[in-house]
Amino acid sequence: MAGLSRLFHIGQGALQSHQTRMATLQNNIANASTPGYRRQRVDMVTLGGHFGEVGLRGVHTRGPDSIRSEFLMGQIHKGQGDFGFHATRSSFAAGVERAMMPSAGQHLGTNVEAFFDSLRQASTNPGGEIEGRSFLQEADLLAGRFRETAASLQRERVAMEGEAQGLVDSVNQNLQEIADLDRQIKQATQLSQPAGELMDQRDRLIQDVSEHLSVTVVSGDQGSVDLITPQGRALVEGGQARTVGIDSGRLPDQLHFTLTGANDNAQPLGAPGGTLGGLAATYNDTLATEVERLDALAFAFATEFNARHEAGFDRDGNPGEALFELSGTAQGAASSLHLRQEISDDPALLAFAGDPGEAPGGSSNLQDLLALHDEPLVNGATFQESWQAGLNEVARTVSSARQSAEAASASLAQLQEMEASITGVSLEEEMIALSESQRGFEAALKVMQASDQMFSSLLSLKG
Amino acid sequence: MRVTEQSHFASLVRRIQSHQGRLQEAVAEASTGVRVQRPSDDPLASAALQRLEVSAQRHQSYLRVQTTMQGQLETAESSLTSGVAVLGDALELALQMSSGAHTEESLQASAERVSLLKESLREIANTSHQGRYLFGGVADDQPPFDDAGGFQGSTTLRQVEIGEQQRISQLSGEDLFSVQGESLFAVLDELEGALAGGDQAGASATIDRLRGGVTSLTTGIQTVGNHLTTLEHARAFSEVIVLDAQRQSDRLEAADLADAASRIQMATTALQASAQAAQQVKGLKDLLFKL
Repeated sequence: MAGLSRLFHIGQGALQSHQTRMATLQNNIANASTPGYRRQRVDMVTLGGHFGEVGLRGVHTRGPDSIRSEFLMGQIHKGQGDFGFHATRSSFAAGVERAMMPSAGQHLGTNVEAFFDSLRQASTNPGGEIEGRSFLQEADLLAGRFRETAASLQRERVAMEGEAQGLVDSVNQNLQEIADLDRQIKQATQLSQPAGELMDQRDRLIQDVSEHLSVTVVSGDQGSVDLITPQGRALVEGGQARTVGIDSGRLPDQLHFTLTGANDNAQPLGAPGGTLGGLAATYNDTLATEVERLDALAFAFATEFNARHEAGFDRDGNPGEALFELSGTAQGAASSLHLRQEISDDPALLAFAGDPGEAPGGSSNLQDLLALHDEPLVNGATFQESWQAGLNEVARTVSSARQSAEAASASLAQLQEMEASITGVSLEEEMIALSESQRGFEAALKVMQASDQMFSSLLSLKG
Repeated sequence: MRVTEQSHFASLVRRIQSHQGRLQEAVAEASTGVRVQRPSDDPLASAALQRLEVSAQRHQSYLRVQTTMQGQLETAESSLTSGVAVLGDALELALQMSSGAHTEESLQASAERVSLLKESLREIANTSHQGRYLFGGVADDQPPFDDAGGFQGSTTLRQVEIGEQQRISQLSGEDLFSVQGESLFAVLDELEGALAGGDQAGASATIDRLRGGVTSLTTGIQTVGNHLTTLEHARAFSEVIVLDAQRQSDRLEAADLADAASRIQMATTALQASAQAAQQVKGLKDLLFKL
């Protein structure tokens, strides 16, 4: 009787094991297309293991456990950080490029050519009213283009700061959720409860964070993880999240980030990598360089032009006055550049003559003004050379970042495919396994039916 | 490598996205006809395009200056040709009246004729173009010769840049309308006075100076002719630069339409193939579920 009862229990254990396995397989099939879902596996384990008594021992299940590849996940986090960095750099540097050149043929370079063209036309009739007004109109347009470009770059700056704040908020929210999930996973693991879905959820959040800043995931005990920056600073540690912030003290010159814990002061985060890193690199290098270049160009051009204009004499033989008004220093010169109203209203004040005796039709000072087109203005470069160098530098940054983003995207896709091939659900595989489990379930059911019949036969014999 | 649902899906999506990206790029090129829309599309080509644009703008500017200067020079040439004719008439009168017997009435009529010729020459010397007096030097806002023929313009001459390192200068009214330092108007005054006074010898004394005046104006015409030739060469050079810049810009900037059309065709076919592959995969999955 004891043997039959054991057979009955073996059948019952097999039945339950196959039922659990089928439920897991069905769950895998149902979630085959769920983003971030990792297939779960139930292992059938012989009761008593290798050291149990020989003979019929029955089975039980272990799991379900999610399939994961720590190595590939680490590589994916790195790949996402690289992609985030280059894609953001490409996108925001393209914004700087648009600010400098709203459309083909509409930028400071074309305005300065139109300015010198009108000056050249005035050289055929320096005392002419129409030529004078035409030149003043171009001078006004040039000053306006300086201001417009400076305003566009300022708008880019504000947009980057807004984006940085949005990203920081999103990262902080994710870090907090990761820390919360980490505690829940640890608790579930301690109670031997399944934590696979919580881990999947945490992995998705870590992937989101890794796109925004470089992180290394360090696995701890009982399913917990710590998130560490490349500089070795912990973002999440022991189920506690730190807060990323913007170092407002260094704005608007530089964009840097800080890290603050519950019990410590804000510390510099260092180079964050990811989208935050791409944003900071564009803000601190590309944008800052071009704003500085624009101001230097505006200041040098207007100051030198004013000096030359003041050296000339107007139509009435009076000494020339400054043509442009601007700030006293290079900083902010582009946004403050204006054509002086007094001259704007009266072309007779244009000082094209080189000496009072040359007035009103002399043009020797006009030739000096015209020569400025080909003379070095900033760091040994002419206006056009300096402006084109800026445009080309930004264009190269955008192009290079775009290519790097494409390469990082391809590499990331490959890593994700490799990871999906290990942790993803193969419907064919699951269907075969389901069919196998169904047969196992039926076999276990037959064992139970047979043992029931045998038990009934024995009882009838005894009776 | 295991083939999973996610890898199937990811692979298909990536391929479709890649083909769509290529298709969009080719369609944008074909529809705008431009390959380099922004500097970042091709930084090297863009840098070259900017240099070409600056060069073309500069030479277009020179072309406009050349057009203005051509107008001024053609007007000056025409005026000086008329001046030569006027002086020629005066010279003919001086030659006629300085020899043989002439009545007092005849000499008086000739004196009046010289007076009219002097007035014509003064108008020629005060020729203006678009409101500016051509022979007044830098003082071109007022007539350079007064009613008596005295020069009140400027001897400072304006130079105009008509091309790179190429300048042409204004003509000096004082030099053109004088002979051996003496004003042509003074010579005509002397001729008029001699004829009015019946002084045939006095009239004869002006002949050489009048010839000198004709030579002076003729030299002026030659100078204008030289300027016009220089201008013509400068114009031809600027036109070549502008055309060459345009040609090079087109080569760097313009899309190859045949190539773009071919890429559109390829990307469309690849997209259709990817869609068919997705359909087939879906069919296989459906079959698997039925089984």
